[in-house]
Amino acid sequence: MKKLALIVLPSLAVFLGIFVGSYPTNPLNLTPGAVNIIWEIRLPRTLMGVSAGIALSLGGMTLQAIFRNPLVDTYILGVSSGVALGAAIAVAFLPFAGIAPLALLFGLLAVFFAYWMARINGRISTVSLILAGIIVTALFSALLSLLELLLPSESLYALVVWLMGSLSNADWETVIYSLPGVLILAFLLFLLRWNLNAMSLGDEAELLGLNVHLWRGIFVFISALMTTLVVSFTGIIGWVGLMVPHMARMLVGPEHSRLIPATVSIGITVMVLADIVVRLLPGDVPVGIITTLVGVPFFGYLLRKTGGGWS
Amino acid sequence: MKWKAFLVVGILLVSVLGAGCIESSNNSTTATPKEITVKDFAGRTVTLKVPVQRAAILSTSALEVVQLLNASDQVVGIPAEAKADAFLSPDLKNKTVVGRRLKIDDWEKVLALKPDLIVNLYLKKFYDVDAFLNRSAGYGIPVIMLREDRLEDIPKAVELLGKLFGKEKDAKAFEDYFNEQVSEVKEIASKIPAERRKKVIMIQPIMGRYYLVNGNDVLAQAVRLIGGEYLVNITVKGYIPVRVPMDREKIIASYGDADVAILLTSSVTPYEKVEELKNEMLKDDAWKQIKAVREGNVVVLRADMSKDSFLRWSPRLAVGIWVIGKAVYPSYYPDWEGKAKEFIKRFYPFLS
Repeated sequence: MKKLALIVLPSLAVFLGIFVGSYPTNPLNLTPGAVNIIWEIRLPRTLMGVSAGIALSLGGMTLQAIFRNPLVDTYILGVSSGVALGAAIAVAFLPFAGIAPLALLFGLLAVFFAYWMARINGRISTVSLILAGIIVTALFSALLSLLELLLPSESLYALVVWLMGSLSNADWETVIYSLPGVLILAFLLFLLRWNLNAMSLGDEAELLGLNVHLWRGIFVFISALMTTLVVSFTGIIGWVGLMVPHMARMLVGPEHSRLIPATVSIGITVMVLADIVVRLLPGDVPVGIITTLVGVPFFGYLLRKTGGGWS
Repeated sequence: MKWKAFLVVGILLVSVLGAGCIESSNNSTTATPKEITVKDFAGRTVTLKVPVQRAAILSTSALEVVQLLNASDQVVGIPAEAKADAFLSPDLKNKTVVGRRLKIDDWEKVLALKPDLIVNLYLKKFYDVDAFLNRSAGYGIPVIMLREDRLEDIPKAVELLGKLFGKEKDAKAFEDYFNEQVSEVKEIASKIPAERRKKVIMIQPIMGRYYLVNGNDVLAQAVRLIGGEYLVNITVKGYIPVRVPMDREKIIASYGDADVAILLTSSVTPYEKVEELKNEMLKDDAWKQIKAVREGNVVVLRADMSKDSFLRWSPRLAVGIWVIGKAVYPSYYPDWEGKAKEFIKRFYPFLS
């Protein structure tokens, strides 16, 4: 039953993603105009939702496993502040360069910086990595604030809205840059599911012959790359990486050969449905607001239930 | 020796007097100050001494007016955004920055400049106007509030600032020029038959998102002035924003019958980027659901701070109405470049 739900729900979400919107598109009677709308707007938007759902959820799941902490996601490593700073630099100084390349570059730079800072005597502990992430986030946020002072009102407003995250600007180009990379990394994670299982045991993984520090670095890199491949195009979409892995864990347990497919399935469902809600609202509400509105109460409930540790 | 000393003192005296003469011939502000009471654009009654000698101005459009009035010498403080405004002379841009986005960062800096007037915009959605006014009143600095809501407010703002800065003649010259442009445009618009009246939308693409210019914006008013019908009129819970973010599909579903789509540049999206977007639109089958895109009537116009941009609420709009006229009705309106040259030569000669 669970397996069936995990297949049906994302399929249903994608179907709705293709056929729900403000332009009339009756699946039983598609006009040429409707076909164009689906092909040029809804399909890339839905696929970007699929990409975001997979990347953010798996990114969160991976870090929660290797840090053995249910309350972390990729943003804790400074990805979001790096992406935001990159976007602000693009807006302020390099409008010709476009936002995505610089956002991607700075997102990864933030993670590498945090990783480098946390590496002491060739070893990286969970605490040092999280602290380094906090330091990098603080530094990049301060630089972002400084840049925001220089921006004219319309740029600042646009940057703030962009940072809230949206799938409405998705097109085939952004999908081509994002989705294949995310799928490859997701598949790689699935291949490495046994290592993830071992890593979730903490330093005991060394007893199983695993180089914990090396694998921690590899998993941090995979999750950071996955996240930046999405948020550098969409802006920051919060709470998906925290919320979805927990939902998946509640359904199938912590073993990664089942947890990864479940996380992917729920990630796609949540993200695409959140975007459908946005489409039905007037204007162009950032999808990050919807995911936050759903994610915050869920996270609060989780915090009270688990006390911040594994239950 | 004595005669040498007399000579030096004599030369110095002549120089000082000469400088005084030059100063007074350039600037009418040496007139005896008098107290007047005016009504600003927020409907407030303000009493102040004119001509103003030391104004702190927080809006770039008001600064463009002051530049046009040849009253730059009477300004002591400017907003940070002024640095990017091509219609402001280097002299004006080099004044002390006292604020940004209509707010004052450091009141101490303002007080050190001893301003006798602050000019700002009455935009309650952007900052706490009442707190700003209370604070200024506490320091004994009069404030004049302007509004950028309506096209007809442009000559009125020029008239008001002309009165305050003692530049009534310069103000009158611009008011006459502006009203003349509006009359000419109205005359052309009256000749456009009802069946040829075009439906227009304006989109400002910023950071991958689309912001529709709403019907209450001064640019939409300009579209109506030139004889077009502006399609976007959106009210959000009783509030009418000037820009409305909207996704592609909603734009296509709502404004499929637009005859002309105008894409606007901004300080974030340069001309080349918007032109690129236009070319993508023209090839995109989804965008082609809009009549204007299908028929190739998509125009890119500058609405940024560059010197080629005339689509902002400021004296520039005297040319801007011709720019929009030509974009919407190319066969009715003449090329606007000549108008732009004349405008710059008369009112912003340092740009020519």
